[in-house]
Amino acid sequence: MEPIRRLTQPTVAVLRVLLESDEPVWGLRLAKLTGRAPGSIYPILARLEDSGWIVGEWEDDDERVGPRRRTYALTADGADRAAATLATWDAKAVRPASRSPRTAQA
Amino acid sequence: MNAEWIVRRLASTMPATHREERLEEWLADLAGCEELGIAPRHIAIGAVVSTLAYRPAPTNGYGMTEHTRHSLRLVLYVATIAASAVWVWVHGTHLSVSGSNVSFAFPGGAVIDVIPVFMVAGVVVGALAAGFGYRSLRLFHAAADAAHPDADA
Repeated sequence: MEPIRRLTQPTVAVLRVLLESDEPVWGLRLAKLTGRAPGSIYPILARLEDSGWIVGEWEDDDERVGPRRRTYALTADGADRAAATLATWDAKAVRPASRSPRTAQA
Repeated sequence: MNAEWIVRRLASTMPATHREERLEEWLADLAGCEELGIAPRHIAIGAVVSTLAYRPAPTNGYGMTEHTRHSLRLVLYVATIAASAVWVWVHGTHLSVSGSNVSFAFPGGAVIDVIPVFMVAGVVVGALAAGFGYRSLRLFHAAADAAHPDADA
Protein backbone atom coordinates (compact mmCIF):
# COMPACT_ATOMS: atom_id res chain seq x y z
CA MET A 1 0.00 0.00 0.00
CA GLU A 2 1.40 3.35 -1.05
CA PRO A 3 1.38 6.38 1.27
CA ILE A 4 -0.72 9.41 0.43
CA ARG A 5 1.64 11.95 -1.08
CA ARG A 6 -0.49 15.02 -0.48
CA LEU A 7 -3.01 14.96 2.34
CA THR A 8 -5.74 17.55 1.78
CA GLN A 9 -8.87 18.46 3.69
CA PRO A 10 -11.20 16.75 1.15
CA THR A 11 -9.09 13.57 1.39
CA VAL A 12 -9.35 13.66 5.17
CA ALA A 13 -13.13 14.15 4.88
CA VAL A 14 -13.42 11.12 2.57
CA LEU A 15 -11.30 8.95 4.89
CA ARG A 16 -13.37 10.04 7.87
CA VAL A 17 -16.69 9.13 6.25
CA LEU A 18 -15.36 5.77 5.08
CA LEU A 19 -13.89 5.01 8.50
CA GLU A 20 -17.15 5.82 10.25
CA SER A 21 -19.25 3.82 7.82
CA ASP A 22 -20.01 0.16 8.46
CA GLU A 23 -20.69 -0.63 4.83
CA PRO A 24 -19.36 0.40 1.42
CA VAL A 25 -20.42 3.89 0.41
CA TRP A 26 -21.60 4.95 -3.03
CA GLY A 27 -19.08 7.39 -4.53
CA LEU A 28 -21.66 10.10 -5.10
CA ARG A 29 -23.03 9.72 -1.57
CA LEU A 30 -19.48 10.35 -0.35
CA ALA A 31 -19.60 13.66 -2.19
CA LYS A 32 -22.89 14.47 -0.47
CA LEU A 33 -21.75 13.35 3.00
CA THR A 34 -18.47 15.27 2.81
CA GLY A 35 -20.17 18.33 1.34
CA ARG A 36 -17.68 18.36 -1.51
CA ALA A 37 -18.29 18.60 -5.24
CA PRO A 38 -17.95 15.39 -7.26
CA GLY A 39 -15.11 17.12 -9.08
CA SER A 40 -12.97 16.96 -5.94
CA ILE A 41 -14.17 13.52 -4.80
CA TYR A 42 -13.66 11.53 -8.03
CA PRO A 43 -9.88 12.12 -8.26
CA ILE A 44 -9.47 11.39 -4.54
CA LEU A 45 -11.28 8.07 -4.83
CA ALA A 46 -9.23 7.13 -7.90
CA ARG A 47 -5.97 7.94 -6.11
CA LEU A 48 -6.94 6.12 -2.91
CA GLU A 49 -8.05 3.08 -4.88
CA ASP A 50 -4.86 2.96 -6.95
CA SER A 51 -2.81 3.36 -3.76
CA GLY A 52 -4.59 0.43 -2.10
CA TRP A 53 -6.25 2.41 0.69
CA ILE A 54 -9.78 1.72 -0.54
CA VAL A 55 -11.42 -0.85 -2.74
CA GLY A 56 -14.20 -0.11 -5.19
CA GLU A 57 -16.94 -2.60 -5.93
CA TRP A 58 -20.00 -2.59 -8.13
CA GLU A 59 -23.23 -2.42 -6.16
CA ASP A 60 -25.22 -5.65 -6.35
CA ASP A 61 -28.79 -4.41 -6.42
CA ASP A 62 -31.19 -6.44 -8.55
CA GLU A 63 -34.11 -4.11 -7.89
CA ARG A 64 -32.48 -1.06 -9.46
CA VAL A 65 -32.20 -0.93 -13.25
CA GLY A 66 -29.59 0.93 -15.27
CA PRO A 67 -25.84 1.31 -14.78
CA ARG A 68 -24.40 -0.13 -11.59
CA ARG A 69 -23.25 2.19 -8.84
CA ARG A 70 -19.67 2.00 -7.64
CA THR A 71 -19.24 1.75 -3.89
CA TYR A 72 -16.07 2.22 -1.89
CA ALA A 73 -14.75 0.84 1.40
CA LEU A 74 -11.43 0.99 3.20
CA THR A 75 -9.20 -2.04 2.91
CA ALA A 76 -8.00 -3.61 6.19
CA ASP A 77 -4.61 -1.91 5.91
CA GLY A 78 -6.31 1.23 4.64
CA ALA A 79 -8.53 1.39 7.72
CA ASP A 80 -5.49 1.17 10.03
CA ARG A 81 -3.62 3.82 8.08
CA ALA A 82 -6.69 6.03 7.82
CA ALA A 83 -7.22 5.91 11.60
CA ALA A 84 -3.58 6.83 12.21
CA THR A 85 -3.71 9.57 9.56
CA LEU A 86 -6.87 11.10 10.99
CA ALA A 87 -5.44 10.99 14.53
CA THR A 88 -2.35 12.88 13.35
CA TRP A 89 -4.47 15.33 11.37
CA ASP A 90 -6.81 15.99 14.28
CA ALA A 91 -3.89 16.45 16.67
CA LYS A 92 -2.43 19.09 14.36
CA ALA A 93 -5.80 20.77 14.09
CA VAL A 94 -6.22 20.89 17.89
CA ARG A 95 -2.72 22.22 18.58
CA PRO A 96 -3.37 25.91 17.66
CA ALA A 97 -6.52 25.87 19.83
CA SER A 98 -4.56 24.57 22.84
CA ARG A 99 -2.21 27.54 22.53
CA SER A 100 -4.93 30.14 22.77
CA PRO A 101 -5.58 29.82 26.56
CA ARG A 102 -1.85 30.24 27.14
CA THR A 103 -1.91 33.35 24.98
CA ALA A 104 -4.88 34.58 26.89
CA GLN A 105 -3.11 34.07 30.25
CA ALA A 106 0.00 35.89 29.10
CA MET B 1 -25.41 18.93 -25.47
CA ASN B 2 -26.15 17.30 -22.11
CA ALA B 3 -24.24 15.87 -19.19
CA GLU B 4 -24.49 12.29 -20.46
CA TRP B 5 -22.95 13.26 -23.80
CA ILE B 6 -20.08 14.94 -21.95
CA VAL B 7 -19.29 11.99 -19.66
CA ARG B 8 -19.43 9.63 -22.63
CA ARG B 9 -16.96 11.80 -24.56
CA LEU B 10 -14.69 12.11 -21.51
CA ALA B 11 -14.79 8.37 -20.82
CA SER B 12 -13.72 7.73 -24.41
CA THR B 13 -10.51 9.66 -23.71
CA MET B 14 -9.61 7.43 -20.75
CA PRO B 15 -7.14 4.56 -21.10
CA ALA B 16 -8.88 1.40 -22.36
CA THR B 17 -8.22 -0.37 -19.05
CA HIS B 18 -10.43 2.12 -17.15
CA ARG B 19 -12.81 3.37 -19.86
CA GLU B 20 -15.84 1.13 -19.30
CA GLU B 21 -15.52 1.30 -15.53
CA ARG B 22 -15.45 5.11 -15.42
CA LEU B 23 -18.30 5.41 -17.91
CA GLU B 24 -20.59 3.10 -15.94
CA GLU B 25 -19.75 4.87 -12.68
CA TRP B 26 -20.47 8.31 -14.13
CA LEU B 27 -23.68 7.14 -15.83
CA ALA B 28 -24.89 5.61 -12.56
CA ASP B 29 -24.08 8.85 -10.76
CA LEU B 30 -26.01 10.80 -13.39
CA ALA B 31 -28.97 8.46 -13.02
CA GLY B 32 -29.04 8.82 -9.23
CA CYS B 33 -27.73 12.33 -8.61
CA GLU B 34 -31.12 13.99 -8.29
CA GLU B 35 -32.13 11.75 -5.38
CA LEU B 36 -29.16 13.26 -3.51
CA GLY B 37 -30.00 16.77 -4.64
CA ILE B 38 -26.95 17.02 -6.89
CA ALA B 39 -27.41 18.60 -10.33
CA PRO B 40 -26.30 16.54 -13.38
CA ARG B 41 -24.00 19.36 -14.42
CA HIS B 42 -21.95 18.78 -11.27
CA ILE B 43 -21.37 15.19 -12.38
CA ALA B 44 -20.24 16.42 -15.80
CA ILE B 45 -17.94 19.00 -14.24
CA GLY B 46 -16.66 16.33 -11.84
CA ALA B 47 -15.88 14.08 -14.78
CA VAL B 48 -14.03 16.90 -16.54
CA VAL B 49 -11.99 17.67 -13.42
CA SER B 50 -11.33 13.99 -12.81
CA THR B 51 -10.18 13.50 -16.39
CA LEU B 52 -7.83 16.47 -16.21
CA ALA B 53 -6.63 16.00 -12.62
CA TYR B 54 -6.11 12.28 -12.47
CA ARG B 55 -5.52 9.80 -15.23
CA PRO B 56 -4.80 6.20 -14.33
CA ALA B 57 -1.56 4.81 -15.67
CA PRO B 58 -2.48 1.99 -18.05
CA THR B 59 -0.07 -0.83 -18.73
CA ASN B 60 0.66 -2.41 -22.07
CA GLY B 61 1.19 -6.12 -22.72
CA TYR B 62 4.69 -5.89 -21.28
CA GLY B 63 3.53 -4.34 -18.02
CA MET B 64 4.90 -0.92 -18.97
CA THR B 65 3.07 2.18 -17.81
CA GLU B 66 2.19 4.98 -20.19
CA HIS B 67 4.74 7.17 -18.40
CA THR B 68 7.49 4.58 -18.94
CA ARG B 69 6.59 4.30 -22.63
CA HIS B 70 6.78 8.08 -23.04
CA SER B 71 10.13 8.15 -21.24
CA LEU B 72 11.51 5.41 -23.49
CA ARG B 73 10.24 7.24 -26.56
CA LEU B 74 11.96 10.43 -25.40
CA VAL B 75 15.22 8.55 -24.80
CA LEU B 76 14.91 7.09 -28.32
CA TYR B 77 14.43 10.56 -29.86
CA VAL B 78 17.39 12.03 -27.97
CA ALA B 79 19.59 9.03 -28.86
CA THR B 80 18.66 9.34 -32.54
CA ILE B 81 19.44 13.07 -32.60
CA ALA B 82 22.72 12.50 -30.73
CA ALA B 83 23.75 9.68 -33.08
CA SER B 84 22.91 11.84 -36.11
CA ALA B 85 24.93 14.73 -34.69
CA VAL B 86 27.93 12.45 -34.06
CA TRP B 87 27.66 10.97 -37.55
CA VAL B 88 27.55 14.45 -39.11
CA TRP B 89 30.47 15.61 -36.96
CA VAL B 90 32.62 12.56 -37.85
CA HIS B 91 31.89 12.52 -41.57
CA GLY B 92 31.77 16.26 -42.13
CA THR B 93 29.10 18.25 -43.94
CA HIS B 94 28.87 21.39 -45.95
CA LEU B 95 26.32 24.09 -45.27
CA SER B 96 26.10 26.57 -48.14
CA VAL B 97 24.18 29.81 -48.34
CA SER B 98 23.39 31.19 -51.74
CA GLY B 99 21.10 34.18 -51.76
CA SER B 100 17.92 33.10 -49.98
CA ASN B 101 18.72 29.43 -50.55
CA VAL B 102 20.35 27.43 -47.75
CA SER B 103 21.43 23.90 -48.62
CA PHE B 104 23.00 21.09 -46.67
CA ALA B 105 25.44 18.77 -48.45
CA PHE B 106 26.07 15.28 -47.06
CA PRO B 107 29.39 13.46 -47.64
CA GLY B 108 27.73 10.99 -50.04
CA GLY B 109 26.83 13.83 -52.37
CA ALA B 110 23.18 14.23 -51.38
CA VAL B 111 22.08 17.84 -51.08
CA ILE B 112 18.92 19.06 -49.37
CA ASP B 113 17.47 22.55 -49.21
CA VAL B 114 17.04 23.51 -45.57
CA ILE B 115 14.24 26.09 -45.90
CA PRO B 116 11.63 23.78 -47.50
CA VAL B 117 12.39 21.17 -44.85
CA PHE B 118 11.73 23.73 -42.11
CA MET B 119 8.57 24.89 -43.89
CA VAL B 120 7.17 21.35 -44.11
CA ALA B 121 8.08 20.71 -40.46
CA GLY B 122 6.36 23.98 -39.50
CA VAL B 123 3.19 23.04 -41.35
CA VAL B 124 3.11 19.61 -39.69
CA VAL B 125 3.67 21.05 -36.21
CA GLY B 126 1.08 23.76 -36.87
CA ALA B 127 -1.51 21.20 -38.00
CA LEU B 128 -0.89 19.10 -34.88
CA ALA B 129 -1.21 22.17 -32.65
CA ALA B 130 -4.46 23.17 -34.36
CA GLY B 131 -5.84 19.65 -33.87
CA PHE B 132 -4.99 19.60 -30.16
CA GLY B 133 -6.32 23.13 -29.78
CA TYR B 134 -9.62 22.26 -31.44
CA ARG B 135 -10.04 19.18 -29.21
CA SER B 136 -9.31 21.19 -26.08
CA LEU B 137 -11.75 23.88 -27.17
CA ARG B 138 -14.53 21.35 -27.66
CA LEU B 139 -13.99 19.90 -24.19
CA PHE B 140 -13.95 23.42 -22.74
CA HIS B 141 -17.24 24.34 -24.45
CA ALA B 142 -18.79 21.05 -23.33
CA ALA B 143 -17.88 21.83 -19.72
CA ALA B 144 -19.16 25.40 -20.05
CA ASP B 145 -22.48 24.21 -21.48
CA ALA B 146 -22.84 21.74 -18.64
CA ALA B 147 -22.23 24.47 -16.10
CA HIS B 148 -24.85 26.74 -17.72
CA PRO B 149 -27.49 24.45 -19.27
CA ASP B 150 -30.03 27.27 -19.57
CA ALA B 151 -27.80 29.36 -21.78
CA ASP B 152 -29.11 27.64 -24.93
CA ALA B 153 -32.73 28.39 -24.09
